[in-house]
Amino acid sequence: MGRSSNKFGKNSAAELSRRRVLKGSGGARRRDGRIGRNRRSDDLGARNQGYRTPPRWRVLFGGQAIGDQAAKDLGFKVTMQNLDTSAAINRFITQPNTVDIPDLEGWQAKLAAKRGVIQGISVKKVKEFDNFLRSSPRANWTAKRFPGRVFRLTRQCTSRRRTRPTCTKA
Amino acid sequence: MYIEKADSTNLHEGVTEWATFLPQVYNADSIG
Repeated sequence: MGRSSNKFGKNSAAELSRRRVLKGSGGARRRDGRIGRNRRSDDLGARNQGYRTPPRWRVLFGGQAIGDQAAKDLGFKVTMQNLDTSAAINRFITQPNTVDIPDLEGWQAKLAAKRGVIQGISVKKVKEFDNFLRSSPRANWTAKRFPGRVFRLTRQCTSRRRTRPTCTKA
Repeated sequence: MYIEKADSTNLHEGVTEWATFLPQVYNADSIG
């Protein structure tokens, strides 16, 4: 019988070095006892590569993968930064010159527009603009039951609860 | 979500050429 080896080709005792123990400390040990990255850092890694992850944190996600595609489309370097919701809106409002393209939520866009810190986006230049679907509950209901009939952004708001932020008055 | 001109500060009731943001498929933390 040969010695048991792990995926690194070393036996377990050799792998359990001081460095690995230090890397695994601080609550990073998994439930099954393995040492490695925990679930949260796995999420961040996945998000930074542009993959969807379960919504565990309040993070405005702008993965560098999106920036890379934008750089390819636009022809210049695009650097992405992640900010949580409150840090993002604070920065957009108080230091608008430090951000070229903010990734705004609906309520943030309203606030920023009123403060005059954002420019309008010409919808004529957005290739798929007419294919964006409304996210209102009513539109989701309709889309489920009548797959052929979907409400687009250019239609009148169909939600009965017009105070909901998701119901954009178009 | 629309404003009347590119540099307007008042939101416009109805559709114009100028949008303030683009909706996204995935929004993890809020309904905004």
